[in-house]
Amino acid sequence: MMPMAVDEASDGGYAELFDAHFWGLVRFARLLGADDPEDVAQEAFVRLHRKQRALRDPNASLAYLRTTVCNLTRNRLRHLGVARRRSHLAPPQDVASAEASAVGRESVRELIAALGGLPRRQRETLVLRYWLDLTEREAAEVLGVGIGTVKTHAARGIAALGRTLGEAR
Amino acid sequence: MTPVDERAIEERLRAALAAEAALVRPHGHARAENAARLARVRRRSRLFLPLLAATATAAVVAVAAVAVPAALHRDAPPAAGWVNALDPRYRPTGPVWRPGGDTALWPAHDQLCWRAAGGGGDCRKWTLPSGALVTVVMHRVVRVTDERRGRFEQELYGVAAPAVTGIQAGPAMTGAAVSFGGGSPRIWRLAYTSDAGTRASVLTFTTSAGRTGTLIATSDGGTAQAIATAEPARTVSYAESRPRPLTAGVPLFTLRRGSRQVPVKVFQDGLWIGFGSDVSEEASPVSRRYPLSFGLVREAPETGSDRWWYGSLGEKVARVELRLNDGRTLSARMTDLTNARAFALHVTGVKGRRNRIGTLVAFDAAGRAAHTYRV
Repeated sequence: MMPMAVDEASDGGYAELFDAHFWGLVRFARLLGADDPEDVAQEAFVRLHRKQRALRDPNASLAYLRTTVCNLTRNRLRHLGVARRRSHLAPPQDVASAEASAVGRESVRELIAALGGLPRRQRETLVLRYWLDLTEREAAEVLGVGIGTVKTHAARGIAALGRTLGEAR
Repeated sequence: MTPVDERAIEERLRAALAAEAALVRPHGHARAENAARLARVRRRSRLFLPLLAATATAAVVAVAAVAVPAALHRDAPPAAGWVNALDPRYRPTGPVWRPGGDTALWPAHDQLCWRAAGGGGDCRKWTLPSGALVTVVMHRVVRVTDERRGRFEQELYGVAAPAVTGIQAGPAMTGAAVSFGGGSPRIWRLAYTSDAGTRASVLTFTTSAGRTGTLIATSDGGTAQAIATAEPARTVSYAESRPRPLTAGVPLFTLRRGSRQVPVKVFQDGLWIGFGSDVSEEASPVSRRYPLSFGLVREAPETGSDRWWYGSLGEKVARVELRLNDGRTLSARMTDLTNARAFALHVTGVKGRRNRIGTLVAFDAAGRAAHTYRV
């Protein structure tokens, strides 16, 4: 008789990991500025599936996924930047939807727009620190940089946001 | 910037990030999409491997010949078994309910799917409109208990609204047992035995508000779902759910439809073999009692004088020929399956009515004609 095990626990907990973290990673990619965050998250999981057995620490899967999402988003943004320069296209303007134009959304939009204007490393650091609530050490591991670099990027990012929002007023 | 300003910016940033992240709205297709991507990657790696091995051999780099394929190729984990073989559209994206026996049930988006341990299953769309309490989605004959008296073990699968507290089977349903699966939607199964001639299934259900309703559902080949509200008895019909493979299938041949190319695939899942383009449209069980005979034989829809015959065969059939009445003899292309084989045969320049074109002949390994089939 065929095994009826339907859960994919035998697959290194891949299915559970997918269910638990897929949408979180989609949100993460969106906050990093990915144009198609769902595609980025899907690709990250496919890469994890290929590399899962090679990971020295099986508990490192989530960190691997976060790093992959960061790298993939970075690559896409770089590619889009090149494509825009070649085709002399301006970056797409955010068009406020009816939902987004509500008063309560204005300050959010202002801040997200300011975040989008930051250098890539600062933006990544702020999302890791203030959305994922990672410690400086964890953020450093995801970004593959030192703790000091994370501290610097975070401080500069917050200062830059303060300046941008101050000027906006 | 003062520490107070900094803290205010941080708080605003946290709130803005949370609000922006909340704009991502999850949907139910993510896992299926991921399964499809993984399948594509596996297919690519399987195609890529022979090339890699050849290159490595030519370069006489023994280390690379061993290490590179090991790094690139990743076999499907064996314990995942039939789940990996499932067409991504029918893969469980949530908990699977095993109500007993050999059956597993799960919701797949807007469909309810069942699957038997020996292979085969089905998926049917279901709806539970506002005000409806119980719906019968599928009916299945599990096995024949007493062939002489026509006694069948049967099962009804359906979905119930949260308000439904119980379902009782009618008197014609001997040994009826009703069970509810957890989760959402709320799946129920009714297993019972009935004699030949008992075509109607009477269900009485009760709700938490104390209301009761009766549903007389007949399995007369209708395709409508049986949807019941707490009203006086009403009769509805539903179609029997015949097992069919729910796998992604293997290409058998390609039909030309004008400028379109339509792939015809063979699907196998345990005992069941089926054919179709996108999904298995019909299926029959593999019979190991007749290893040298034809199983399911079908003709593809005609396109002028261009015709295809295809079907399943016993596992010991070595080859198949079509002897046309006009004197030509054509050989079929064969595909190996588990404990069975499939064939496809292309003929051009043939016109004529069914059973007047020629004869399909199945040969054993010694070259003896073992079975014939008129086409």
